[in-house]
Amino acid sequence: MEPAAEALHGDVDLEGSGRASYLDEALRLSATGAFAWRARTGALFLTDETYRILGVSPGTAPTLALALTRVHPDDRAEVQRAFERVAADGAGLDLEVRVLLEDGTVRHVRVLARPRRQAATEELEVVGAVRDVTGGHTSEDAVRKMRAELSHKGRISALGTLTASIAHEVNQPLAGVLMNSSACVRWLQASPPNLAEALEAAQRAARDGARAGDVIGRLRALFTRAPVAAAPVDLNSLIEEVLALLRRELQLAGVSLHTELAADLPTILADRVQLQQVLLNLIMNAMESLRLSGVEPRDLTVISRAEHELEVSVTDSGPGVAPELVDQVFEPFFTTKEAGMGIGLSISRDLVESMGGRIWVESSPGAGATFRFTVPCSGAGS
Amino acid sequence: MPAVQPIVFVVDDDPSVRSGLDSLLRSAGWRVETFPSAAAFLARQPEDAPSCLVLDVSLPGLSGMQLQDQLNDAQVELPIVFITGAGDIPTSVRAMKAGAMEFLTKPFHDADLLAGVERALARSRDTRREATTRAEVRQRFETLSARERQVLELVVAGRLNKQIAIELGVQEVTVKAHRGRVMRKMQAPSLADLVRMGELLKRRVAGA
Repeated sequence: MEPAAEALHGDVDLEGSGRASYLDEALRLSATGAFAWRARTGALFLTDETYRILGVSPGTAPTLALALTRVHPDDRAEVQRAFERVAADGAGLDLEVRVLLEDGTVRHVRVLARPRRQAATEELEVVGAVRDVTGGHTSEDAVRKMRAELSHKGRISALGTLTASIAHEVNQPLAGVLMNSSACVRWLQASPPNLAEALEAAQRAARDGARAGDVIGRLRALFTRAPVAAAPVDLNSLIEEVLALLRRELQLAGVSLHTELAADLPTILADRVQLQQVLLNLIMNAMESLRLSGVEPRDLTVISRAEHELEVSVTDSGPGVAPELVDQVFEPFFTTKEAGMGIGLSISRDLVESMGGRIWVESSPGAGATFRFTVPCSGAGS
Repeated sequence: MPAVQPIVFVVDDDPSVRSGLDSLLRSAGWRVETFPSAAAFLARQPEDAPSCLVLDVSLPGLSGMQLQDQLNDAQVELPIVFITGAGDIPTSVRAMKAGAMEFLTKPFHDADLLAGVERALARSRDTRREATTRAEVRQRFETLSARERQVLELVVAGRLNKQIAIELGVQEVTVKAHRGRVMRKMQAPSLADLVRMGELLKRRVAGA
Protein backbone atom coordinates (compact mmCIF):
# COMPACT_ATOMS: atom_id res chain seq x y z
CA MET A 1 0.00 0.00 0.00
CA GLU A 2 1.28 3.44 -0.91
CA PRO A 3 1.92 6.09 1.69
CA ALA A 4 -0.84 8.34 0.47
CA ALA A 5 -3.45 5.67 0.51
CA GLU A 6 -2.21 4.54 3.89
CA ALA A 7 -2.56 7.99 5.31
CA LEU A 8 -6.02 8.43 3.94
CA HIS A 9 -7.33 5.01 4.72
CA GLY A 10 -5.86 5.04 8.16
CA ASP A 11 -7.67 8.23 8.93
CA VAL A 12 -11.00 7.02 7.69
CA ASP A 13 -10.57 3.89 9.79
CA LEU A 14 -10.76 1.45 6.97
CA GLU A 15 -9.74 -2.00 8.00
CA GLY A 16 -7.52 -4.00 5.80
CA SER A 17 -5.90 -3.41 2.44
CA GLY A 18 -8.64 -5.33 0.56
CA ARG A 19 -11.20 -2.67 1.29
CA ALA A 20 -8.67 0.07 0.52
CA SER A 21 -8.00 -1.33 -2.94
CA TYR A 22 -11.74 -1.47 -3.66
CA LEU A 23 -11.89 2.13 -2.70
CA ASP A 24 -8.90 2.94 -4.94
CA GLU A 25 -10.58 1.15 -7.83
CA ALA A 26 -13.88 2.99 -7.26
CA LEU A 27 -12.08 6.31 -7.14
CA ARG A 28 -10.27 5.54 -10.38
CA LEU A 29 -13.50 4.50 -12.09
CA SER A 30 -15.22 7.73 -11.16
CA ALA A 31 -12.14 9.72 -12.25
CA THR A 32 -11.90 10.99 -8.69
CA GLY A 33 -8.67 11.47 -6.83
CA ALA A 34 -8.26 11.94 -3.11
CA PHE A 35 -5.82 13.98 -1.12
CA ALA A 36 -4.90 14.90 2.41
CA TRP A 37 -2.93 17.97 3.46
CA ARG A 38 -1.43 18.62 6.89
CA ALA A 39 -1.48 22.33 7.52
CA ARG A 40 1.35 22.36 10.06
CA THR A 41 3.92 20.33 8.15
CA GLY A 42 2.61 21.13 4.68
CA ALA A 43 2.77 17.43 3.86
CA LEU A 44 0.49 16.38 1.03
CA PHE A 45 -0.77 12.89 0.28
CA LEU A 46 -2.24 12.04 -3.11
CA THR A 47 -3.82 8.96 -4.64
CA ASP A 48 -2.80 7.70 -8.11
CA GLU A 49 -5.81 9.27 -9.70
CA THR A 50 -4.94 12.67 -8.18
CA TYR A 51 -1.43 12.38 -9.63
CA ARG A 52 -3.00 11.58 -12.99
CA ILE A 53 -5.43 14.45 -12.84
CA LEU A 54 -2.66 16.88 -11.92
CA GLY A 55 -0.37 15.40 -14.54
CA VAL A 56 2.38 14.72 -11.99
CA SER A 57 4.38 11.48 -12.10
CA PRO A 58 3.49 9.34 -9.05
CA GLY A 59 7.11 9.13 -7.81
CA THR A 60 7.35 12.87 -7.11
CA ALA A 61 7.22 13.95 -3.48
CA PRO A 62 4.05 15.97 -3.42
CA THR A 63 3.71 19.37 -1.79
CA LEU A 64 0.96 21.94 -2.00
CA ALA A 65 3.42 24.22 -3.77
CA LEU A 66 4.04 21.57 -6.44
CA ALA A 67 0.33 20.95 -6.85
CA LEU A 68 -0.19 24.69 -7.20
CA THR A 69 2.27 24.89 -10.10
CA ARG A 70 -0.16 22.64 -11.96
CA VAL A 71 -3.08 24.95 -11.38
CA HIS A 72 -3.82 27.44 -14.15
CA PRO A 73 -2.01 30.72 -13.28
CA ASP A 74 -5.32 32.62 -13.30
CA ASP A 75 -6.80 30.29 -10.66
CA ARG A 76 -3.69 29.83 -8.52
CA ALA A 77 -4.25 32.68 -6.08
CA GLU A 78 -7.83 31.56 -5.51
CA VAL A 79 -6.78 27.98 -4.66
CA GLN A 80 -4.05 29.21 -2.33
CA ARG A 81 -6.54 31.48 -0.53
CA ALA A 82 -9.14 28.70 -0.31
CA PHE A 83 -6.70 26.32 1.37
CA GLU A 84 -5.54 28.99 3.78
CA ARG A 85 -9.15 29.75 4.66
CA VAL A 86 -9.85 26.09 5.39
CA ALA A 87 -6.84 25.98 7.66
CA ALA A 88 -7.78 29.20 9.42
CA ASP A 89 -11.58 29.02 9.75
CA GLY A 90 -12.11 25.32 9.49
CA ALA A 91 -14.65 25.91 6.73
CA GLY A 92 -15.33 23.46 3.90
CA LEU A 93 -14.18 24.03 0.34
CA ASP A 94 -15.83 23.54 -3.02
CA LEU A 95 -13.99 24.96 -6.00
CA GLU A 96 -13.72 24.54 -9.70
CA VAL A 97 -10.22 25.18 -10.95
CA ARG A 98 -8.40 24.75 -14.19
CA VAL A 99 -5.33 22.55 -14.32
CA LEU A 100 -2.82 23.46 -17.00
CA LEU A 101 -0.93 20.39 -18.26
CA GLU A 102 2.59 20.53 -19.65
CA ASP A 103 1.34 20.06 -23.20
CA GLY A 104 -0.93 23.07 -22.78
CA THR A 105 -4.25 21.27 -22.44
CA VAL A 106 -6.60 22.60 -19.82
CA ARG A 107 -8.45 20.28 -17.45
CA HIS A 108 -11.41 21.50 -15.42
CA VAL A 109 -11.21 20.03 -11.94
CA ARG A 110 -13.68 20.19 -9.10
CA VAL A 111 -12.07 20.20 -5.67
CA LEU A 112 -14.10 19.29 -2.58
CA ALA A 113 -12.47 19.29 0.84
CA ARG A 114 -13.16 19.63 4.55
CA PRO A 115 -10.89 20.11 7.53
CA ARG A 116 -10.63 17.74 10.51
CA ARG A 117 -8.51 17.14 13.58
CA GLN A 118 -6.42 14.04 13.67
CA ALA A 119 -7.63 11.90 16.55
CA ALA A 120 -4.17 11.25 18.00
CA THR A 121 -2.30 14.53 17.52
CA GLU A 122 -5.14 17.06 17.34
CA GLU A 123 -3.29 18.26 14.28
CA LEU A 124 -5.41 19.99 11.59
CA GLU A 125 -5.59 18.28 8.27
CA VAL A 126 -7.61 18.86 5.15
CA VAL A 127 -9.00 15.84 3.33
CA GLY A 128 -10.71 16.02 0.03
CA ALA A 129 -11.41 14.78 -3.43
CA VAL A 130 -10.58 16.09 -6.88
CA ARG A 131 -12.65 15.17 -9.89
CA ASP A 132 -11.94 15.73 -13.55
CA VAL A 133 -15.04 17.43 -14.98
CA THR A 134 -13.47 18.50 -18.28
CA GLY A 135 -15.87 16.45 -20.42
CA GLY A 136 -18.90 18.22 -19.00
CA HIS A 137 -17.18 21.53 -19.47
CA THR A 138 -16.36 20.95 -23.08
CA SER A 139 -19.98 20.37 -23.98
CA GLU A 140 -21.09 23.37 -21.93
CA ASP A 141 -18.51 25.46 -23.75
CA ALA A 142 -19.82 24.14 -27.03
CA VAL A 143 -23.38 25.08 -26.10
CA ARG A 144 -22.29 28.53 -25.01
CA LYS A 145 -20.37 28.98 -28.23
CA MET A 146 -23.29 27.81 -30.30
CA ARG A 147 -25.63 30.14 -28.47
CA ALA A 148 -23.26 33.04 -29.03
CA GLU A 149 -23.05 32.08 -32.69
CA LEU A 150 -26.82 31.89 -33.02
CA SER A 151 -27.27 35.12 -31.16
CA HIS A 152 -24.75 36.77 -33.47
CA LYS A 153 -26.58 35.34 -36.48
CA GLY A 154 -29.88 36.57 -35.11
CA ARG A 155 -28.39 40.00 -34.69
CA ILE A 156 -27.00 40.02 -38.21
CA SER A 157 -30.30 38.87 -39.64
CA ALA A 158 -32.16 41.52 -37.65
CA LEU A 159 -29.71 44.10 -38.92
CA GLY A 160 -30.02 42.72 -42.43
CA THR A 161 -33.67 43.66 -42.48
CA LEU A 162 -32.67 47.09 -41.24
CA THR A 163 -30.11 47.74 -43.96
CA ALA A 164 -32.21 50.33 -45.76
CA SER A 165 -32.83 52.24 -42.57
CA ILE A 166 -29.20 52.06 -41.58
CA ALA A 167 -28.06 53.37 -44.96
CA HIS A 168 -30.57 56.16 -44.55
CA GLU A 169 -29.40 56.97 -41.02
CA VAL A 170 -25.83 57.36 -42.26
CA ASN A 171 -26.77 59.05 -45.50
CA GLN A 172 -28.77 61.90 -43.97
CA PRO A 173 -25.97 63.40 -41.88
CA LEU A 174 -23.52 62.69 -44.72
CA ALA A 175 -25.71 64.72 -47.07
CA GLY A 176 -25.70 67.42 -44.40
CA VAL A 177 -21.89 67.41 -44.28
CA LEU A 178 -21.61 67.73 -48.05
CA MET A 179 -24.20 70.47 -48.41
CA ASN A 180 -22.87 72.50 -45.53
CA SER A 181 -19.26 72.29 -46.69
CA SER A 182 -20.28 73.28 -50.23
CA ALA A 183 -22.30 76.15 -48.79
CA CYS A 184 -19.32 77.17 -46.63
CA VAL A 185 -17.08 77.37 -49.70
CA ARG A 186 -19.66 79.38 -51.61
CA TRP A 187 -20.13 81.86 -48.74
CA LEU A 188 -16.35 82.31 -48.60
CA GLN A 189 -16.09 82.80 -52.37
CA ALA A 190 -18.81 85.44 -52.42
CA SER A 191 -17.67 89.04 -52.73
CA PRO A 192 -17.50 90.22 -50.10
CA PRO A 193 -17.20 86.85 -48.32
CA ASN A 194 -19.95 86.19 -45.82
CA LEU A 195 -17.92 84.95 -42.87
CA ALA A 196 -20.85 84.58 -40.46
CA GLU A 197 -22.73 82.27 -42.85
CA ALA A 198 -19.55 80.36 -43.70
CA LEU A 199 -18.81 79.82 -40.02
CA GLU A 200 -22.30 78.53 -39.32
CA ALA A 201 -22.18 76.17 -42.28
CA ALA A 202 -18.80 74.81 -41.17
CA GLN A 203 -20.12 74.24 -37.65
CA ARG A 204 -23.14 72.40 -39.00
CA ALA A 205 -20.91 70.24 -41.20
CA ALA A 206 -18.86 69.26 -38.15
CA ARG A 207 -22.00 68.48 -36.15
CA ASP A 208 -23.45 66.34 -38.96
CA GLY A 209 -20.15 64.50 -39.32
CA ALA A 210 -20.22 63.66 -35.63
CA ARG A 211 -23.80 62.46 -36.02
CA ALA A 212 -22.78 60.06 -38.80
CA GLY A 213 -19.96 58.82 -36.58
CA ASP A 214 -22.40 58.12 -33.75
CA VAL A 215 -24.56 56.00 -36.01
CA ILE A 216 -21.55 53.97 -37.16
CA GLY A 217 -20.38 53.53 -33.58
CA ARG A 218 -23.77 52.17 -32.51
CA LEU A 219 -23.79 49.75 -35.42
CA ARG A 220 -20.27 48.52 -34.91
CA ALA A 221 -21.17 47.46 -31.39
CA LEU A 222 -24.11 45.46 -32.72
CA PHE A 223 -22.23 43.81 -35.57
CA THR A 224 -19.15 42.70 -33.65
CA ARG A 225 -19.06 39.21 -32.31
CA ALA A 226 -17.73 40.41 -29.00
CA PRO A 227 -17.48 37.99 -26.09
CA VAL A 228 -19.83 38.63 -23.22
CA ALA A 229 -18.56 41.63 -21.34
CA ALA A 230 -20.39 42.86 -18.30
CA ALA A 231 -20.03 46.57 -17.75
CA PRO A 232 -22.12 49.24 -16.07
CA VAL A 233 -25.11 49.99 -18.29
CA ASP A 234 -27.59 52.84 -18.10
CA LEU A 235 -30.71 51.04 -19.26
CA ASN A 236 -32.56 54.19 -20.35
CA SER A 237 -29.79 55.47 -22.59
CA LEU A 238 -29.51 51.98 -24.05
CA ILE A 239 -33.23 52.05 -24.85
CA GLU A 240 -32.81 55.48 -26.45
CA GLU A 241 -29.96 54.18 -28.60
CA VAL A 242 -31.92 51.21 -29.89
CA LEU A 243 -34.91 53.44 -30.60
CA ALA A 244 -32.71 55.90 -32.47
CA LEU A 245 -31.62 53.05 -34.71
CA LEU A 246 -35.22 51.99 -35.31
CA ARG A 247 -36.88 55.42 -35.48
CA ARG A 248 -36.91 55.51 -39.28
CA GLU A 249 -38.17 51.97 -39.55
CA LEU A 250 -41.00 52.76 -37.10
CA GLN A 251 -41.86 55.89 -39.01
CA LEU A 252 -42.07 54.05 -42.32
CA ALA A 253 -44.24 51.34 -40.72
CA GLY A 254 -46.58 54.12 -39.56
CA VAL A 255 -46.02 53.27 -35.91
CA SER A 256 -46.34 55.95 -33.22
CA LEU A 257 -43.74 55.47 -30.56
CA HIS A 258 -44.31 56.27 -26.88
CA THR A 259 -41.75 55.97 -24.12
CA GLU A 260 -42.10 56.13 -20.36
CA LEU A 261 -38.61 55.84 -18.96
CA ALA A 262 -38.32 55.95 -15.18
CA ALA A 263 -35.97 58.59 -13.87
CA ASP A 264 -33.03 57.56 -11.70
CA LEU A 265 -32.80 53.93 -12.74
CA PRO A 266 -29.84 52.31 -11.01
CA THR A 267 -26.97 51.37 -13.30
CA ILE A 268 -26.81 47.63 -13.90
CA LEU A 269 -23.89 45.37 -14.65
CA ALA A 270 -24.64 43.60 -17.91
CA ASP A 271 -23.51 42.95 -21.44
CA ARG A 272 -24.61 45.98 -23.39
CA VAL A 273 -24.82 44.29 -26.78
CA GLN A 274 -26.94 41.45 -25.43
CA LEU A 275 -29.39 43.88 -23.86
CA GLN A 276 -29.53 45.85 -27.10
CA GLN A 277 -30.27 42.68 -28.97
CA VAL A 278 -33.13 41.70 -26.68
CA LEU A 279 -34.68 45.14 -27.10
CA LEU A 280 -34.10 45.13 -30.85
CA ASN A 281 -35.83 41.75 -31.11
CA LEU A 282 -38.82 42.78 -29.02
CA ILE A 283 -39.35 46.11 -30.76
CA MET A 284 -38.93 44.68 -34.24
CA ASN A 285 -41.37 41.88 -33.40
CA ALA A 286 -43.92 44.41 -32.18
CA MET A 287 -43.40 46.51 -35.29
CA GLU A 288 -43.80 43.49 -37.57
CA SER A 289 -46.97 42.42 -35.80
CA LEU A 290 -48.42 45.93 -36.21
CA ARG A 291 -47.40 46.12 -39.84
CA LEU A 292 -48.68 42.67 -40.82
CA SER A 293 -52.00 42.96 -39.02
CA GLY A 294 -52.78 46.34 -40.56
CA VAL A 295 -54.46 47.58 -37.37
CA GLU A 296 -54.97 51.28 -36.70
CA PRO A 297 -53.79 53.11 -34.72
CA ARG A 298 -50.35 51.53 -34.51
CA ASP A 299 -48.97 52.31 -31.11
CA LEU A 300 -45.80 51.00 -29.58
CA THR A 301 -44.91 51.81 -25.99
CA VAL A 302 -41.58 51.17 -24.29
CA ILE A 303 -41.56 51.48 -20.50
CA SER A 304 -38.71 51.13 -18.05
CA ARG A 305 -39.12 50.94 -14.30
CA ALA A 306 -37.27 49.79 -11.22
CA GLU A 307 -38.59 47.78 -8.31
CA HIS A 308 -36.60 44.90 -6.84
CA GLU A 309 -35.29 44.47 -10.32
CA LEU A 310 -35.27 46.58 -13.44
CA GLU A 311 -38.14 45.89 -15.79
CA VAL A 312 -38.56 46.84 -19.43
CA SER A 313 -41.77 46.31 -21.34
CA VAL A 314 -42.60 46.64 -25.02
CA THR A 315 -46.32 46.96 -25.71
CA ASP A 316 -47.98 47.05 -29.11
CA SER A 317 -51.57 47.72 -30.11
CA GLY A 318 -51.53 44.76 -32.50
CA PRO A 319 -53.72 41.66 -32.55
CA GLY A 320 -51.99 40.14 -29.53
CA VAL A 321 -50.88 36.55 -28.96
CA ALA A 322 -53.50 33.80 -28.99
CA PRO A 323 -53.81 32.26 -25.48
CA GLU A 324 -52.82 28.80 -26.72
CA LEU A 325 -49.59 30.24 -28.15
CA VAL A 326 -48.47 32.26 -25.13
CA ASP A 327 -46.36 29.37 -23.84
CA GLN A 328 -44.83 28.64 -27.23
CA VAL A 329 -43.63 32.00 -28.48
CA PHE A 330 -40.27 31.70 -26.74
CA GLU A 331 -39.59 28.23 -28.15
CA PRO A 332 -36.86 28.01 -30.80
CA PHE A 333 -38.13 28.03 -34.37
CA PHE A 334 -41.62 29.08 -33.33
CA THR A 335 -42.83 31.68 -35.80
CA THR A 336 -46.04 33.07 -37.21
CA LYS A 337 -44.23 35.01 -39.90
CA GLU A 338 -43.55 33.58 -43.31
CA ALA A 339 -40.08 35.08 -43.49
CA GLY A 340 -39.32 34.58 -39.79
CA MET A 341 -36.69 32.17 -38.53
CA GLY A 342 -38.36 31.92 -35.14
CA ILE A 343 -35.15 32.48 -33.24
CA GLY A 344 -35.52 36.09 -32.12
CA LEU A 345 -37.59 35.44 -29.01
CA SER A 346 -35.81 32.23 -28.07
CA ILE A 347 -32.47 34.01 -28.27
CA SER A 348 -33.93 36.85 -26.23
CA ARG A 349 -35.03 34.41 -23.57
CA ASP A 350 -31.58 32.78 -23.48
CA LEU A 351 -29.91 36.16 -23.16
CA VAL A 352 -32.25 37.46 -20.45
CA GLU A 353 -31.96 34.25 -18.44
CA SER A 354 -28.18 34.26 -18.73
CA MET A 355 -28.30 37.71 -17.13
CA GLY A 356 -30.36 36.29 -14.28
CA GLY A 357 -33.59 37.86 -15.50
CA ARG A 358 -36.95 36.64 -16.75
CA ILE A 359 -38.93 37.31 -19.89
CA TRP A 360 -42.60 36.73 -20.54
CA VAL A 361 -45.56 37.90 -22.59
CA GLU A 362 -48.89 39.26 -21.43
CA SER A 363 -51.61 39.39 -24.00
CA SER A 364 -55.33 39.33 -24.41
CA PRO A 365 -56.56 38.72 -27.96
CA GLY A 366 -57.42 41.93 -29.75
CA ALA A 367 -55.88 44.07 -27.03
CA GLY A 368 -52.25 43.95 -28.06
CA ALA A 369 -49.29 42.23 -26.51
CA THR A 370 -46.80 43.23 -23.84
CA PHE A 371 -43.40 41.58 -23.78
CA ARG A 372 -41.70 42.18 -20.48
CA PHE A 373 -38.26 41.31 -19.19
CA THR A 374 -36.41 41.88 -15.97
CA VAL A 375 -32.74 42.25 -15.15
CA PRO A 376 -31.62 41.99 -11.54
CA CYS A 377 -30.05 45.09 -9.98
CA SER A 378 -28.29 42.95 -7.39
CA GLY A 379 -24.75 42.08 -8.28
CA ALA A 380 -24.58 45.45 -9.93
CA GLY A 381 -21.86 47.83 -9.02
CA SER A 382 -24.39 50.48 -8.05
CA MET B 1 -42.65 93.99 -64.90
CA PRO B 2 -40.70 94.28 -61.62
CA ALA B 3 -38.30 91.36 -61.06
CA VAL B 4 -39.66 89.30 -58.19
CA GLN B 5 -36.99 87.40 -56.29
CA PRO B 6 -37.55 83.67 -56.86
CA ILE B 7 -38.18 81.43 -53.89
CA VAL B 8 -37.14 77.82 -53.26
CA PHE B 9 -39.27 75.73 -50.91
CA VAL B 10 -37.62 72.81 -49.14
CA VAL B 11 -39.56 69.94 -47.54
CA ASP B 12 -37.44 67.36 -45.66
CA ASP B 13 -37.97 65.80 -42.26
CA ASP B 14 -34.26 65.63 -41.45
CA PRO B 15 -32.91 68.73 -39.69
CA SER B 16 -29.35 68.22 -41.02
CA VAL B 17 -30.58 68.08 -44.59
CA ARG B 18 -32.92 71.04 -44.09
CA SER B 19 -30.29 73.37 -42.67
CA GLY B 20 -27.71 72.23 -45.24
CA LEU B 21 -30.09 72.88 -48.13
CA ASP B 22 -31.12 76.20 -46.64
CA SER B 23 -27.56 77.52 -46.49
CA LEU B 24 -26.51 76.09 -49.86
CA LEU B 25 -29.52 77.50 -51.72
CA ARG B 26 -29.24 80.89 -50.04
CA SER B 27 -25.56 81.02 -50.98
CA ALA B 28 -26.74 80.80 -54.61
CA GLY B 29 -28.80 83.94 -54.03
CA TRP B 30 -32.28 82.50 -53.74
CA ARG B 31 -34.85 83.05 -51.07
CA VAL B 32 -35.39 79.78 -49.18
CA GLU B 33 -38.15 78.52 -46.92
CA THR B 34 -37.90 75.10 -45.26
CA PHE B 35 -40.64 72.82 -43.92
CA PRO B 36 -40.36 69.58 -41.91
CA SER B 37 -43.48 68.01 -43.46
CA ALA B 38 -45.79 68.14 -46.47
CA ALA B 39 -48.62 69.34 -44.23
CA ALA B 40 -46.55 72.29 -42.98
CA PHE B 41 -45.79 73.25 -46.57
CA LEU B 42 -49.42 72.98 -47.68
CA ALA B 43 -50.43 75.29 -44.82
CA ARG B 44 -48.34 78.09 -46.35
CA GLN B 45 -50.03 80.72 -48.54
CA PRO B 46 -49.10 80.43 -52.25
CA GLU B 47 -46.33 82.82 -53.31
CA ASP B 48 -46.67 85.12 -56.31
CA ALA B 49 -43.09 84.63 -57.51
CA PRO B 50 -41.13 82.12 -59.58
CA SER B 51 -40.77 79.20 -57.24
CA CYS B 52 -39.86 75.53 -57.06
CA LEU B 53 -39.91 72.74 -54.53
CA VAL B 54 -36.99 70.65 -53.29
CA LEU B 55 -38.83 67.62 -51.93
CA ASP B 56 -37.77 64.55 -49.95
CA VAL B 57 -39.40 61.36 -51.25
CA SER B 58 -40.00 59.60 -47.94
CA LEU B 59 -41.60 61.86 -45.42
CA PRO B 60 -43.56 60.94 -42.32
CA GLY B 61 -47.29 61.44 -42.91
CA LEU B 62 -47.95 62.61 -46.45
CA SER B 63 -45.04 61.32 -48.58
CA GLY B 64 -43.21 63.35 -51.22
CA MET B 65 -44.89 61.42 -54.03
CA GLN B 66 -48.32 61.98 -52.49
CA LEU B 67 -47.61 65.70 -52.21
CA GLN B 68 -46.67 65.74 -55.91
CA ASP B 69 -49.97 64.03 -56.75
CA GLN B 70 -51.93 66.54 -54.66
CA LEU B 71 -50.22 69.52 -56.30
CA ASN B 72 -50.88 68.02 -59.74
CA ASP B 73 -54.54 67.41 -58.87
CA ALA B 74 -54.90 71.00 -57.65
CA GLN B 75 -53.14 72.18 -60.86
CA VAL B 76 -50.51 74.02 -58.85
CA GLU B 77 -47.66 74.74 -61.27
CA LEU B 78 -44.69 74.09 -59.01
CA PRO B 79 -41.64 72.36 -60.56
CA ILE B 80 -40.23 69.73 -58.20
CA VAL B 81 -36.65 68.58 -57.61
CA PHE B 82 -36.87 65.29 -55.73
CA ILE B 83 -34.19 64.24 -53.29
CA THR B 84 -34.12 60.77 -51.77
CA GLY B 85 -32.07 58.72 -49.33
CA ALA B 86 -32.62 55.49 -51.23
CA GLY B 87 -33.04 56.04 -54.94
CA ASP B 88 -34.95 53.13 -56.39
CA ILE B 89 -35.66 53.16 -60.09
CA PRO B 90 -39.46 52.58 -60.05
CA THR B 91 -39.94 55.54 -57.70
CA SER B 92 -37.77 57.85 -59.77
CA VAL B 93 -39.50 56.80 -62.99
CA ARG B 94 -42.89 57.46 -61.43
CA ALA B 95 -41.79 60.86 -60.14
CA MET B 96 -40.36 61.90 -63.50
CA LYS B 97 -43.50 60.75 -65.33
CA ALA B 98 -45.56 62.86 -62.93
CA GLY B 99 -43.54 65.86 -64.04
CA ALA B 100 -40.56 66.04 -61.67
CA MET B 101 -37.65 68.16 -62.95
CA GLU B 102 -34.91 66.12 -61.31
CA PHE B 103 -34.43 63.12 -59.07
CA LEU B 104 -31.29 63.24 -56.92
CA THR B 105 -30.01 60.57 -54.54
CA LYS B 106 -28.50 61.81 -51.28
CA PRO B 107 -25.71 62.62 -50.84
CA PHE B 108 -25.61 64.58 -54.11
CA HIS B 109 -23.18 67.08 -55.65
CA ASP B 110 -24.06 70.69 -54.91
CA ALA B 111 -23.66 71.50 -58.62
CA ASP B 112 -26.32 68.92 -59.55
CA LEU B 113 -28.74 70.32 -57.03
CA LEU B 114 -28.13 73.95 -57.98
CA ALA B 115 -28.46 73.14 -61.69
CA GLY B 116 -31.70 71.27 -61.00
CA VAL B 117 -33.11 74.15 -59.00
CA GLU B 118 -31.98 76.60 -61.69
CA ARG B 119 -33.87 74.65 -64.35
CA ALA B 120 -36.92 74.31 -62.11
CA LEU B 121 -37.02 78.06 -61.52
CA ALA B 122 -36.58 78.71 -65.26
CA ARG B 123 -39.56 76.45 -65.91
CA SER B 124 -41.52 78.33 -63.26
CA ARG B 125 -40.64 81.68 -64.89
CA ASP B 126 -41.74 80.34 -68.31
CA THR B 127 -44.97 79.07 -66.89
CA ARG B 128 -45.64 82.40 -65.21
CA ARG B 129 -44.80 84.38 -68.37
CA GLU B 130 -47.09 82.16 -70.40
CA ALA B 131 -49.84 82.58 -67.82
CA THR B 132 -49.48 86.36 -67.97
CA THR B 133 -49.56 86.40 -71.78
CA ARG B 134 -52.51 84.05 -71.79
CA ALA B 135 -54.42 86.34 -69.43
CA GLU B 136 -53.72 89.35 -71.66
CA VAL B 137 -54.76 87.51 -74.80
CA ARG B 138 -57.89 86.33 -73.03
CA GLN B 139 -58.71 89.93 -72.09
CA ARG B 140 -58.34 91.04 -75.71
CA PHE B 141 -60.42 88.10 -76.88
CA GLU B 142 -63.22 89.24 -74.52
CA THR B 143 -63.46 92.53 -76.50
CA LEU B 144 -64.36 90.68 -79.75
CA SER B 145 -67.92 90.50 -80.98
CA ALA B 146 -69.58 87.09 -81.58
CA ARG B 147 -69.00 87.36 -85.34
CA GLU B 148 -65.37 88.44 -84.88
CA ARG B 149 -64.78 85.40 -82.63
CA GLN B 150 -66.18 83.13 -85.37
CA VAL B 151 -63.85 84.73 -87.92
CA LEU B 152 -60.88 84.38 -85.56
CA GLU B 153 -61.60 80.70 -85.03
CA LEU B 154 -61.77 80.02 -88.79
CA VAL B 155 -58.67 82.09 -89.59
CA VAL B 156 -56.69 80.24 -86.93
CA ALA B 157 -57.98 76.96 -88.40
CA GLY B 158 -56.25 78.00 -91.65
CA ARG B 159 -59.33 78.87 -93.81
CA LEU B 160 -59.04 81.37 -96.64
CA ASN B 161 -61.24 84.49 -96.67
CA LYS B 162 -63.33 83.01 -99.51
CA GLN B 163 -63.99 79.81 -97.58
CA ILE B 164 -64.91 81.78 -94.46
CA ALA B 165 -67.32 83.94 -96.47
CA ILE B 166 -69.08 80.84 -97.78
CA GLU B 167 -69.16 79.19 -94.38
CA LEU B 168 -70.64 82.28 -92.68
CA GLY B 169 -72.87 83.21 -95.66
CA VAL B 170 -71.44 86.73 -96.04
CA GLN B 171 -69.48 88.73 -98.61
CA GLU B 172 -65.73 88.21 -98.76
CA VAL B 173 -65.30 92.03 -98.21
CA THR B 174 -67.17 91.71 -94.94
CA VAL B 175 -64.84 88.90 -93.84
CA LYS B 176 -61.86 91.09 -94.69
CA ALA B 177 -63.29 93.93 -92.53
CA HIS B 178 -63.94 91.56 -89.59
CA ARG B 179 -60.47 90.10 -89.95
CA GLY B 180 -58.88 93.56 -89.86
CA ARG B 181 -60.74 94.41 -86.64
CA VAL B 182 -59.74 91.05 -85.11
CA MET B 183 -56.06 91.73 -85.90
CA ARG B 184 -56.33 95.20 -84.36
CA LYS B 185 -58.26 94.22 -81.24
CA MET B 186 -56.00 91.21 -80.60
CA GLN B 187 -52.95 93.44 -81.21
CA ALA B 188 -51.56 90.84 -83.61
CA PRO B 189 -48.81 92.26 -85.88
CA SER B 190 -49.05 89.26 -88.23
CA LEU B 191 -51.16 86.25 -89.06
CA ALA B 192 -48.55 84.03 -87.37
CA ASP B 193 -49.00 85.98 -84.13
CA LEU B 194 -52.75 85.63 -84.33
CA VAL B 195 -52.44 81.88 -84.85
CA ARG B 196 -50.15 81.62 -81.80
CA MET B 197 -52.69 83.55 -79.68
CA GLY B 198 -55.43 81.27 -80.91
CA GLU B 199 -53.38 78.25 -79.76
CA LEU B 200 -52.86 79.86 -76.36
CA LEU B 201 -56.60 80.43 -75.99
CA LYS B 202 -57.35 76.85 -76.99
CA ARG B 203 -54.83 75.45 -74.51
CA ARG B 204 -56.46 77.53 -71.83
CA VAL B 205 -59.82 75.99 -72.65
CA ALA B 206 -58.34 72.49 -72.72
CA GLY B 207 -56.51 72.95 -69.44
CA ALA B 208 -59.46 74.43 -67.53
